[in-house]
Amino acid sequence: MTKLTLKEWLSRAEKKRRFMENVRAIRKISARPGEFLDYPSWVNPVLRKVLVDRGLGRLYSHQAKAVDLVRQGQSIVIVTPTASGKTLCYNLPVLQKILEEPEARALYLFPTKALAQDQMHEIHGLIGELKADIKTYTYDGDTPDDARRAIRKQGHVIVTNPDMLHAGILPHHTKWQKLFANLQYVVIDELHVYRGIFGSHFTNVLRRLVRICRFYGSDPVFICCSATVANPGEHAERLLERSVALIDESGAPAAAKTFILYNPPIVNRELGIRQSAMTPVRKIAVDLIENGIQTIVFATSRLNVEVLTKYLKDRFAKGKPIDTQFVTGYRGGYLPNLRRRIEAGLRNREIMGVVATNALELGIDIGDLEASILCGYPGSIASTWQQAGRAGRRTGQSLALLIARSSPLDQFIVENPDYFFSRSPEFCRVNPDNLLILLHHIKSAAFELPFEKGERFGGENLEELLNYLEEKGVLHRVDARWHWSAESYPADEVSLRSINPENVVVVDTTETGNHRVIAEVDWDSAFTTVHTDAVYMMESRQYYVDNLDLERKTAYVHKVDTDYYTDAMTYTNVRVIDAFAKKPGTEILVEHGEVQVVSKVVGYKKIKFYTSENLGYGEVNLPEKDMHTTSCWFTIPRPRLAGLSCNQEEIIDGLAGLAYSLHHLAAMMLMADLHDIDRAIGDKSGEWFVRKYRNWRTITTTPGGGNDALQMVDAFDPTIFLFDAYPGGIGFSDLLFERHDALLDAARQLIRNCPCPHGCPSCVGPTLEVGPRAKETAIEILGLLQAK
Amino acid sequence: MSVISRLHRLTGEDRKASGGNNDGRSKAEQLASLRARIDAILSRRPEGQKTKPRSTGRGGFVPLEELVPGEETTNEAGAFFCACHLMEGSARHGRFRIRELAALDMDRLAVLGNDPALRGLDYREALFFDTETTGIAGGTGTVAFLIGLGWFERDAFIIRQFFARDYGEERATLLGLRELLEGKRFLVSFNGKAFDANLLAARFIMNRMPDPLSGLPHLDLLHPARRLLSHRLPDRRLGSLESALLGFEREEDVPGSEIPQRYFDWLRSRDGLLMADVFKHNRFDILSLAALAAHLSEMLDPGDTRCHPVDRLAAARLFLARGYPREAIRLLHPLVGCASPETAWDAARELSLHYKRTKQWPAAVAIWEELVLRDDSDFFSLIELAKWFEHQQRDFTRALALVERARVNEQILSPDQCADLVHRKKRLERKLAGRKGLARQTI
Repeated sequence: MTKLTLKEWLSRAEKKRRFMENVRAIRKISARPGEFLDYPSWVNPVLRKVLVDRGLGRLYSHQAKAVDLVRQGQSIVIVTPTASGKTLCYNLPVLQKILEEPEARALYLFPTKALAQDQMHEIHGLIGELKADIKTYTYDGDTPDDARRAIRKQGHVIVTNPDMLHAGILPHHTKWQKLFANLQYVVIDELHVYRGIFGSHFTNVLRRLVRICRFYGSDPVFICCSATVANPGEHAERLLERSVALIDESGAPAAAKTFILYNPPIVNRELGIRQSAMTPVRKIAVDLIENGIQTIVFATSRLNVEVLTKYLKDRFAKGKPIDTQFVTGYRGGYLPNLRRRIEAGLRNREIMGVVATNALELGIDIGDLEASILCGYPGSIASTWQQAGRAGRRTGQSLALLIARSSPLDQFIVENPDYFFSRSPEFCRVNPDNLLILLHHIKSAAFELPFEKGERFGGENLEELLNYLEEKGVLHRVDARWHWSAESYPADEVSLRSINPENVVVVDTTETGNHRVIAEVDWDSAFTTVHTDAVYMMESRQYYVDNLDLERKTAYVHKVDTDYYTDAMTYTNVRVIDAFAKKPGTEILVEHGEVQVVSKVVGYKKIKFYTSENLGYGEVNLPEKDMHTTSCWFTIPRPRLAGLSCNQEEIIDGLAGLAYSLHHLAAMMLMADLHDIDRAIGDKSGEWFVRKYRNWRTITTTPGGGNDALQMVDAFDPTIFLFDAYPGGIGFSDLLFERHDALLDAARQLIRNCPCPHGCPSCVGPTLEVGPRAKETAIEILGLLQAK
Repeated sequence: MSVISRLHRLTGEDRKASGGNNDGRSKAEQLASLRARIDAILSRRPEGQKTKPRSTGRGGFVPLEELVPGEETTNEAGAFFCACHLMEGSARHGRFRIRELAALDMDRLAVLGNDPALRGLDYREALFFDTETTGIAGGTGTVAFLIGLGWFERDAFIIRQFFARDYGEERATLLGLRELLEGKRFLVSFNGKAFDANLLAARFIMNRMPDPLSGLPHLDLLHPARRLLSHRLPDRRLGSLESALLGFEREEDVPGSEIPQRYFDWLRSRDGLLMADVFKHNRFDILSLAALAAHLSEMLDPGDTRCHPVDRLAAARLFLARGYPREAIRLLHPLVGCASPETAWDAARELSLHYKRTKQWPAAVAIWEELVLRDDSDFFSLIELAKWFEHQQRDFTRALALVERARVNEQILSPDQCADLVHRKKRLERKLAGRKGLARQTI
């Protein structure tokens, strides 16, 4: 068989009817030449020579602009595609400065250890060629104790992550005197990763960093890089709390790229079930690799990576040694050495196929691959472009293929190519002044340095909060200073990445005398996944939960072999406390504000594997959870609903279906995880709310009420709430309020364009759950909501 | 709405009481309930904040000055409280009289500290120090609120304790320490290198002052105590050393873990009772530090036969490790014949290995042969002799015979020892065969 080039492969594919039937869009992005500028005159001749010898004869225009601004002391954010030489935008000014002033120091922050390692290699290489005495170290949890002292004293460039800065460096700043006193540059790569809760924490870590720098008399310039999002400049200024120049025009040449959106065929029209995305992914990947086209496959979970790798290995390992690396997996749990070997194998084309999680999405150098297959929408357009960018970094032809799963997000993206291909609609949001987050960091900051009267930290009244902490006994005020006055180490009390630092451990008690911890579940999920009598799934094994002990934060389980799994039933009751703003002019209320959310897991369903048959119910007795947060809501006045041609139960189903799709689409617009926002239906008083009970829905006033309240729909104005799933809110609902038109439009497109007859998991939710007329009714309700 | 009332709402405090309305609740009630609720947010580990005994029992408030001898002292940086104590030469601390502590042998301290710089100094130039802090987690939020210092003047021991009655006085205590250090040439501490000196270094930086400790020789007794005493003690806390070695028992001592909370409570109440015990605790620490220095240096005295043989063996090992073989040999020689067979064997082993290292073969061989005479299954000596015959004498036959002798007791040997024997035997047999072959060829 003669091997096809990628170009030939593409033209053959475009002639195949069975392939093209599933293709929703093909975009040919033509190659673009580079725009170059000369090195600025101030660049050290040796440094310039090293770069020129590396083949960088001139700078891309955005690089030249970036290094000049940085040189002038301006903080910047660079937003250009993958492989456009962002690294040089910070390495050049940093190395230049250290060559001029050997005392100068720089701090590099990467969101993951793997990225930090990779960047270390990059800058190490440059320094080696410079033959300069510049020391670069990574400093993270893996750094051996005996190396730490030398790193603190001698490192010119310290490469670390925000968690380490937060808990390991800032609270010990006196040991880092040399770094903080001479800190000239702070580099923050992958700025878009710092959003939501992580970003809100990170902003506060930066506030603390700047405060410590001020103590030592330094005022560093910030150099940031970000993937393409809707608001990179605004986001950078919100994180850094200073003016930031935005550089978003790439001068790098780009290869021609073919981008295909592919939707697997429907196999059960009634239930709206599509072929698994894994099937076409496997077939296409095999075909490409057989033709000698180096291919990367991105899967959305570790499990999928392993499954796909197995498929590909089985296919290619025939007659080859078992340990062949011709195709391989790549994900977080792999040991660093193995990962380095895989990265090298990709660069020298010994590895022709790799299946990866998003661990390979960020800037790790794996050379120029030709094809990138995305098994499922990665959750944001920014990630999609980054993953697509791993193929064809500078020259030639490349292919990116997104294969959709049946989730509403995936379906919306492939069925609305214009939404995807036009400018990024995704916003990064942070709320660093969320009181609980702010309070944690005020404590950490006070530990680092006493607060002085008149100091500022965040947007709230600092003195009030300091007095409050004094009242609490963790601060002690002497004259005009508040000193840390407790034994604890406050940075250890907060995790920057998770909502609630509490975890529940799952203990397997199957073998007497050999109890072992098999998993950790975060506090909030514990209520729904490891409640007493639940069936917990782990590595495709089933465990029966004997007891969830909340006080000990432990769930005791034993292995079972059941033919069912459990699905928790919850109710959520939302009460409006304070409406901040209202969209004017319509009868339909669109508002946002502060709400109280009470939720409780009341029971569970037993669902049979494969058939999804409902086998029975059980009760769960867990405390309710009570939270204040911010929400955006839509209220439809009763009289308007009365005009619809459906009964009250159907109206509730329609609202539930609409809420389902709004929830998914809101997560998409916010680049948020589905768990970061939540939804509920009720009325604004909190007296009425919709509750799922067994297999019907009720509107009820009391958590214990049965379905006798069903007829009461007339008594209230139904409201759909979308709220931040974090006490105090993270800023998501403000944005949903601002952009509610776009959100409603997207929901209309999603539901209208979905080919299922009565609703499916891709639009309003599975028919069996939302009822037979949910889809129609949802569209009618949308009509009301959007009526001008 | 104020920040705090919003915070209350987030923590759920306002609504539980009266449905979102605080009317009718006294401010004190609100605060109490607020505290309880905020605890949940502030401390991730509920067990983190234990309730500690707060009062020493007398109930009422007593000014510090009435309980601790001392006075307010001022310097350029402000005021602090300085407690003063003088222990006359005839006073006792455990089994020691103070004047017995004073005559420290600087050569031996140099061995203990593994720092030759100590040798030329005078014991009166030593500053013994120990701090009491607001925590042991480290980091810039930990403060040394009490700096305990001791030194010898003639045969008396002077103790000064610099106490920051509030965070604002820390700077003055640090300046006081710096001034006092001008007359001192080296530091003595227990675990001070890793903890106290580090913490003080951070405090000096936080107060923008140069650190006077960093340039000074520092004898940290933790490490030599570990080497010299690990065979006798369950742990290496100063407290357990005290009763076992120094003959000193503390009565009603405040546990170290309670000290931070005592200080936090003091900050609010200014009740001298809270701190008096802490001063006493710190004073004992300083005294025991001086006594421990004396005890450890006694252990290094080859002429001091009061020491237990096991201690003398430990001392000899320390001398060997620090490169003082002569002193080690002086200690080891008499031990070889001591009453305890284990100690005698250990001493003989150390001595023979020293001779082996320095290639004094006859002396080494004599010891091994002596040991084999005492016990003909002595694995160590049989193997050492076998090695000597194999590598030095090149007498493979006798070496093999020794290996065979060691194998007789195979059942009591460890698997490693057995493997070693097998390996050695094979090699010797190979060498013997080779030599025979060679002999035949030459014939």
